[in-house]
Amino acid sequence: MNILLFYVDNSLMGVPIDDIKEVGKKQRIRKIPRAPFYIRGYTKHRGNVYLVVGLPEMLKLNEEGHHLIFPSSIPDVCFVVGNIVGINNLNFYPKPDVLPMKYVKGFGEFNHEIAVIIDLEGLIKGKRISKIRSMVKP
Amino acid sequence: MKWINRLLWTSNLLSVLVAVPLLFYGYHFFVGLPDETIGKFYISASVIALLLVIAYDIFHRVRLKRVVGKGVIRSVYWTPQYLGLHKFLDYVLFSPVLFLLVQTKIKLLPINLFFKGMVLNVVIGLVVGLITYFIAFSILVPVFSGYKESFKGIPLRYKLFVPLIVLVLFSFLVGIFFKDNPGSALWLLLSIAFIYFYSSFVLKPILQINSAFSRFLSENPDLNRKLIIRTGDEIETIAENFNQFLDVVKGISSKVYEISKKVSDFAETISSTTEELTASVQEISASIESINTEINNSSNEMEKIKVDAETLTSMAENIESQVKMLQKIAQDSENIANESARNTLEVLSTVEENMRSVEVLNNKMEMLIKASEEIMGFADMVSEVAEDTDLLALNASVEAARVGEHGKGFGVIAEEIRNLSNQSRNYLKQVLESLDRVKSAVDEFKNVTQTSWGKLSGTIEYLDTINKSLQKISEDVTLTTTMTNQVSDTIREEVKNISVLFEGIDKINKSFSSTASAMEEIGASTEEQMAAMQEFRSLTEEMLNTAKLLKRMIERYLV
Repeated sequence: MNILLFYVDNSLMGVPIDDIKEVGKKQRIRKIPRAPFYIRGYTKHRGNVYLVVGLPEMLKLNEEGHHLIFPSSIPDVCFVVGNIVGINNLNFYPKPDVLPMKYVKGFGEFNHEIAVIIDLEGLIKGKRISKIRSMVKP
Repeated sequence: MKWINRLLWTSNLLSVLVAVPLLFYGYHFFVGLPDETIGKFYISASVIALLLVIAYDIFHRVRLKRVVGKGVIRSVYWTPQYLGLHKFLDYVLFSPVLFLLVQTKIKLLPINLFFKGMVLNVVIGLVVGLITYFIAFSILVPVFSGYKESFKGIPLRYKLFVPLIVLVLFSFLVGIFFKDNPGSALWLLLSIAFIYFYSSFVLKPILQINSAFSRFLSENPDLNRKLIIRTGDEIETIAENFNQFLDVVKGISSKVYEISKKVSDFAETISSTTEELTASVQEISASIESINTEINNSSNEMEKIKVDAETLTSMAENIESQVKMLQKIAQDSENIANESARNTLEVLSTVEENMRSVEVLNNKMEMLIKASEEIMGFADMVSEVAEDTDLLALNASVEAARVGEHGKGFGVIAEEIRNLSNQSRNYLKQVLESLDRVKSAVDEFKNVTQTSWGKLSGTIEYLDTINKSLQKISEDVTLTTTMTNQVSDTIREEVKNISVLFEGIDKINKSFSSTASAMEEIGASTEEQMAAMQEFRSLTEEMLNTAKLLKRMIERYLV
């Protein structure tokens, strides 16, 4: 299974490559007043306006972020992540049912290191993101 | 009041004891009273005479007390003449009273007898008056001062004349009564006694004068004791003259005493001053000796000074030669200083050139740093490009993965591109590292050049200071040269002065020798003076002794 691997606060994480539309450099981010703490603001990319969601904030980690990943399933939203390691074919282990976290898809092994495979859609489900996205992009 | 008692008692006693019995006896003799009545007559006459005496006494006491109260005899009636006259008048007035008394006892007294009795009365009254006068004179005149204005004393010739008259009268009376009369012997005795007392009264002042003269001529004469004789006659003038003589002698002797005292004091002061003078002359001779020794010492000192001055001259000459050497050295050092200043200036110019080259080097280095920085900027750009390429390759591989089996080849190419970009990034890293090394080396070089720059600038400052100090040294050396010239001039002058000093020292030595000889002469003369002084001193001592003797002799008269 091809997975895009990256670091958030020194912990290896990954997203399945099917969920990702594009990877980009972190551009200038403009802040939105009265937004929740995990909304970093909005940015321009290839002539479109994207709502920037801080993955470290959502996962309660401390990371400034270097790259943006644009998910394929969620329009007009990008996530801030740390340094991107690359695209690797990993052995995927689905999440055990005892774990309550819905945003974790499963685990992958890479160079004797366990990477957490994150479900981006599950992460932002139930949040006020769609409302704010409509505010940013009328 | 002694003198009143004396006067009255003597005069009244005379009346009672002499005059009244004489009168009665005369009456009895002349008148010839009968024998059976004579006892009664005597008793009654005696009582009357006593009463008269008492009355007379009281009367005179009252009058004389008034006179005494005033202190002087004012009235001429209280002089001895008038006292005698009163006595005489008393007796003359008493004779009629006695006559009346006799008439009461003896009837029909013949008138010729009365006249006989009157004559007797007058004679006795005259005698009593005269006696009273002399008594009063002898008593009153010494008592009262200033009686001279009232009356003049009786001359001595009358003093001797009157008793002779009295004696004649007595002898006349005795001649009358002697016949068949035992009382006549008593009269004679009385008259002799009177003459004796009177003569003693007259001679008393003469004896006083005699004793005064003997006192004056005695061993311890008293010039203050005056001779007081109040007789109113020539003897009194003698006494007064004697007193004046005493005054004169006293004045002369006091003057002589003063003079002798002055002479004695003067002689004492002369003696003391001669002693002082001798002492001072001795001191002078001692000081002359000390001066002689001092002169000898100072002439020796002068010799020493001369020797010292000679050494000083040689030293001054040495100093002059040394000063000349110093001048040479100063000139040499000035030349050296000038040369070294020139050298330092050259060094300064070369250092400045070095600095300029260092500056150029520095500029080059800065240019190098700038270039390396630019290179680093380019490297950044290259790194960015590499990153972008990496991302692009990533996206390409994402796209290839999404395509699936068909995009596998594309994915491999994308992977290769990614690898290439990573490789270029690694190369870039190496380039950056080498650039960093270059930069650090350049920085080090820059630091080194900066420190060398600072050192060079410090060197320039040092050189500047050296140059300045060299200039100063040159100035100082010139100053020293001028000063040493002055010193050498002054030393030359000093040498001249020292030669003048030599002459002066010689002169002083000559004058010292002449002074020493003069001092010896002075010493000899002072010794002669001392001998003369001692002679003079013995003479003054003799004079003092004689003055003291004179003083002692005069003191006898003044005590």
